[in-house]
Amino acid sequence: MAAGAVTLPLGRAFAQGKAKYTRYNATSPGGLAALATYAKGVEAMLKLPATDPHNWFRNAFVHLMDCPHGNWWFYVWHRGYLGYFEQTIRALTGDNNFAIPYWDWTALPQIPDPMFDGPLNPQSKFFEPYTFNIAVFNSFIQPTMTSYWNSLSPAQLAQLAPRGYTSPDTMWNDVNGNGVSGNISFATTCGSRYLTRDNPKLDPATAKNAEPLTLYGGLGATEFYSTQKFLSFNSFKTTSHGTPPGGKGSFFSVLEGLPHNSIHNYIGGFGPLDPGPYGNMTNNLSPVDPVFFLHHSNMDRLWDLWTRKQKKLNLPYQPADADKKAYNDEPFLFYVDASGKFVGTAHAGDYFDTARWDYEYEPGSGSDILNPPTAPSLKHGLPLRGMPHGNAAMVSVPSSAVKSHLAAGATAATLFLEITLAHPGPGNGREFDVFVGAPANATNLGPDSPFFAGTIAFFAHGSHTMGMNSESTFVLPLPESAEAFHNLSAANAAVNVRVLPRGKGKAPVLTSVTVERR
Amino acid sequence: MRLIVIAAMALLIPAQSAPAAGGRTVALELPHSLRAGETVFVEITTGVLKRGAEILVQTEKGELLGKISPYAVPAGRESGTYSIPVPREAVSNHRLSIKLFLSEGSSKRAPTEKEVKEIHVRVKPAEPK
Repeated sequence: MAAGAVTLPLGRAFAQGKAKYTRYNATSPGGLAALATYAKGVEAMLKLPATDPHNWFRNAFVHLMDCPHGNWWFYVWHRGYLGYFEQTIRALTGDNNFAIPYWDWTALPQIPDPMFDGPLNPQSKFFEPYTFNIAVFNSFIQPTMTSYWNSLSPAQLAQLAPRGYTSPDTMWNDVNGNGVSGNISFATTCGSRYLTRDNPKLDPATAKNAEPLTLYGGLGATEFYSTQKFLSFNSFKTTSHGTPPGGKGSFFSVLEGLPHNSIHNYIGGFGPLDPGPYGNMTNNLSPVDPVFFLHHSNMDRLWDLWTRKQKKLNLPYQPADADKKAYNDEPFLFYVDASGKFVGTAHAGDYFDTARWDYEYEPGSGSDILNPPTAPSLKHGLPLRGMPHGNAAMVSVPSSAVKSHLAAGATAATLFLEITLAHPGPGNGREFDVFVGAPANATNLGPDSPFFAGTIAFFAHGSHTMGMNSESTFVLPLPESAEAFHNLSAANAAVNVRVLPRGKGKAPVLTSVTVERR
Repeated sequence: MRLIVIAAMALLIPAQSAPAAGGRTVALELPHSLRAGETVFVEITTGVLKRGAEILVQTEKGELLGKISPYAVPAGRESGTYSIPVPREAVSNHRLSIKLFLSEGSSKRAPTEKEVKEIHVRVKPAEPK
């Protein structure tokens, strides 16, 4: 468990390791134990009659009828959905410590192996009595869902209308696809999941969306909501959580739009199986596949991580004051609680806080944003200055700082070069490549070289600046390759900088070169 | 005390957009050379995509950057805008060239102007520590 204390959204003091429940990584010992309970819970829910709101498929219909995607209630709605689901599994299995594990797809870009076992696999015999084909499925559940529809309140019916669900039949168009194979939410037992134990891996493009660059790109959002899309942790602000995703002006946050969406789709075979029908995960009956809850546990974990990061940095982690009421008061009307009763009218604000469910997450990918490695301080103050000679300079930097920089990797460089030089003047090239540690006799250096730090360039030289001091300073990270640094085993490493013109231009004269830590 | 993050700085519409064999190459220009701690995103606005269609985004050299795979978007509706993080090393001399493909099953082609409507490059300022 991560050490230290953080404050939860409601302001309650909460030390990591003190929550009643832990949502473990599905591959850890705690996660494997939780999956064993989960399998029993899924089996129990499958065996319940369709009239029981805890029936496995009834639970999936809550998602089909009410889930928000592509809008800013995405995270909070799914937090409530998982919270009740987790309590239901506890109630049905008697395992009072159960918490839904998460699938850390950044660390493991393939479906965790136990998800191909028994009731955790929608292709197993456990599902066949209900999903053998659409006729079997319809006869099992459609009459009950029609009765349920007829019991809905006007407020519930009003929330269903924007989805195009104005009658039981129109809702069933999304179950049977209404003639469009790609729109069929139902999946037969054998077609319920594209990935198999023998072929469990995400394809390269989907795995790319789950890589650290995307993860940190999403966690780096600085606002709960912003119209500057790349700064917004949440997707588009709409007037209702039932507003369908997409449409003019809408946007997806990095984490919802990339890993969330593509992992859903690929597990169902979106891509390889076009034009469908797809497996469950590709459509809104996705909770029929038990892997859904591990996927969303990970999404919820990332929201929790982001919230804790924001709090640590004194950055906003809630909607802006002007939006708070509209966000918190949004009614969620379709949840079912652990006793099998309909929750009735609940609101988004009721589910914002993990404290409501009293869980925390075993650390996983991205957790280090809460405790980023800190580079040792550079001695002798900052910045460390080098002595330029023409187009080169050497700066002596503590080896410990260089090693820390190398360990931090591309997304978190800690050492930067600051290079000042005069504009080359009219008629000369304006672009220069910067190399660090390149052998003096190296001639064929390029951007693929381990010594390459980056390219600096001057914009056009305006005539009004002719004859004036036209020095410019450029900042760029030091290379991430150990080959670029000499004497790393000594107390101080040599950072040898060389600036070369692109093409056949004249070598520049450097005014100053320094190394800084950021 | 709330730390203020300065508004993102870049907005540049594609400097060039040319159909290329099998893909659409777009040259984007950042407003300045990247500064310490800044991160780069490509923001792609999609139009109506046929069910089963995805947008693959890669650098001009062929390094995959990500995939836009619309989920739960009703048929006939625009698929929205997606932000894809870009590694610093993909930016050269404050320029970034990307290549887009529309993938449908086993076929890949350049997306049309209706399928990918806008592309911007954004620079996110360094996050406070």
